[in-house]
Amino acid sequence: MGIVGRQQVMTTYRQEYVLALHDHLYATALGEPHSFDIPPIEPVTAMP
Amino acid sequence: MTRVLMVSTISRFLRDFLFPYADHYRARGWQVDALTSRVDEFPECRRFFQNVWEVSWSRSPLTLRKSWQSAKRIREIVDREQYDIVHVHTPVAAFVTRFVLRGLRKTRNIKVIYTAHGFHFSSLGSRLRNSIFLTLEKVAGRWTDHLVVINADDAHAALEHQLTPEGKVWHFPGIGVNVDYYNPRAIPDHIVELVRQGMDVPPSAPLFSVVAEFIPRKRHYDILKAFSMLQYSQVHLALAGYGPLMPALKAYALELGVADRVHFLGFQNDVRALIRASDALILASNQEGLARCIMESMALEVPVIGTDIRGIRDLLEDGAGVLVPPGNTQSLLQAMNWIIDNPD
Repeated sequence: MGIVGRQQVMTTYRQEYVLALHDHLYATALGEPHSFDIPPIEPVTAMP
Repeated sequence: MTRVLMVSTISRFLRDFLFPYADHYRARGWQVDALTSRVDEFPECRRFFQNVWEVSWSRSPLTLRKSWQSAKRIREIVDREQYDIVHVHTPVAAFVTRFVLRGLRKTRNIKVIYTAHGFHFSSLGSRLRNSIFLTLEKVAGRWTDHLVVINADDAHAALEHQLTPEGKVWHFPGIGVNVDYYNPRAIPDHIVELVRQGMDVPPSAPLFSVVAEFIPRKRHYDILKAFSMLQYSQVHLALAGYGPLMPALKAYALELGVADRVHFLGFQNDVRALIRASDALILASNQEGLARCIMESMALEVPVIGTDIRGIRDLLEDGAGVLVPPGNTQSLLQAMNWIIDNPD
């Protein structure tokens, strides 16, 4: 697979995904329940 | 109704990064306001945000005196508008606003979120500079409810230095790229050809492009130097952007004898056709958050040559681009040659 082929699989950088992450963050900050259809993401608590 | 205030040091940041966020949350019926400076430079901010509050502050965290003059106004605005979330971006705005709100945060139950678009301390920074910026981040971290970082190195640093309490650090993949807009199929071939014709670049000539502000940390000098060392005399280089180094870079291109093949395009509202017209995009920075022009180039399916630093490495590792050491023109030259020799 060439460079462009690898680029196409990097979907986590899509705007709609990052917006969904912000939905999740804001709901967490406000202490509100949330049910957004995104992969599970939690605050970083261990060294990546 | 949820009320959010987005804070940046200058209005251009709102234009470059936060309009989609304003759209997204206003569509939900939220009140989304902005607090920034130099609104007249990008008056379209007023269309995207319900209210745009103007303050005046410096761009450098090391010259904060001017910014303190805005402190009283910020406190009054936040108190009056009863925001639920204050989301701060960019170092000066983020530091000053968090300082101003450190008391109100508790009494008014305001959640303060800080997105660090690349910490100003790094492995490439001087000890003094790193010490100052790390101290500022540690101090302001105490006034922060949630910290968002956008590259793996910064996530590591936030945890290592305990910049905010455990469980309050989030690693997001940047601010996102609109893949419908940066869609290679949406850029007609004749538009791409027009871009090349506008610069007198023949259809068969290799073209590299750079989309970056002309400031020292973008290291345009390295790119020009490597470009001048290429053996292929018909290669062209297009530089989109503006900034204080532009006159000096033009003089440097003349000195190197390549000025006739280096195209200074100024600020471009829409870089899609330029990137599509290029054989590769180059970013030679020594400091980035998570480089958006690289994400745009990736979405447009154009190869990228980038420096092996945080915020670029995250995007190009695993073979998604060509990584070169920062400040190494020889490696940059090799990468450019590789792209020319392997056009597909």
